[in-house]
Amino acid sequence: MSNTFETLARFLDRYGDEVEGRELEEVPPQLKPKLRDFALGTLPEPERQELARLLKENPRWVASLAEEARIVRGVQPRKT
Amino acid sequence: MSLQSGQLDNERLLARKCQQGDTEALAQLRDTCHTALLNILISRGASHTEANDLLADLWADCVPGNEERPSLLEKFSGRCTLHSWLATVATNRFIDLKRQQQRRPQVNPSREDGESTSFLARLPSPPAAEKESGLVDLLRGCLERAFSACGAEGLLMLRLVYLHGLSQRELARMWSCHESTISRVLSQAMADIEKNTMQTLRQNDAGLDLKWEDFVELCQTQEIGFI
Repeated sequence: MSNTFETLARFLDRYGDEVEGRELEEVPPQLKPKLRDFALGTLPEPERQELARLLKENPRWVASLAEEARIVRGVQPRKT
Repeated sequence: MSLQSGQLDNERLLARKCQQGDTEALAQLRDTCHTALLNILISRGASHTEANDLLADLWADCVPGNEERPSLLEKFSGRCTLHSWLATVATNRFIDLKRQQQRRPQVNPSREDGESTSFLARLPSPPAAEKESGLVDLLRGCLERAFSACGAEGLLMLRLVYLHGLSQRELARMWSCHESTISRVLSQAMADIEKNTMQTLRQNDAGLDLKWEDFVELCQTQEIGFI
């Protein structure tokens, strides 16, 4: 499954409509705390769902979420 | 040297010989690939006649003409197998053929003196670049629709795990759920993408009969082979 999804996503990245009008690659500053909370597992579900929708529209921002998750590796998530 | 890289080296060498017009190499290429390509085209919806005609053109285009008409194999980058690349080229041409058949109204045969009077017959053929894009357009259209129909959280999980290398355990922490839930959502999201892709494919191109594995392979070949 991993190889399949990677193949499809990379194909779309190369040939998709977004190629010409790439969405903003920089994550807006106001979104960064939410990405960090998401990475820590402390973002409430409604906000998490909203953020997932936003990341669906801006797939390049997913890299920032992955980076946050790597940063918090080993950090104990806060109790909610 | 791995078996696969050895095979790719051999194929690059064979392709280079064909580009230079080596008749033995061209015959070897045809002997090795013809039957398999014929079966692929037929399995993808071509009639026996269509498949044979497409392959006759394909083999003819592999023979170098002059400077203005180099061998088709000049476009082979050597980053996938020659067989996969030829299968993609043949499928691309088959899609173009089907689309031309769908667009073209049935016209009366041209006059007996051979001079065609129909407007369609006098239209210039599309430029080569336009011809090559039929398959990419088709694959892209199906995939964009499938990704768009996929749930946002499932798609996000797929990206995090398979593009950015996070573990399912890390995702379970982010979503505050059990790993088995993550695994289930990933499988469901991937199944949805497959289902919606194939549904759109069937709606778009009635003449093309691709299996999911064929679709993925064509995406892969386009990604690595046409650079």
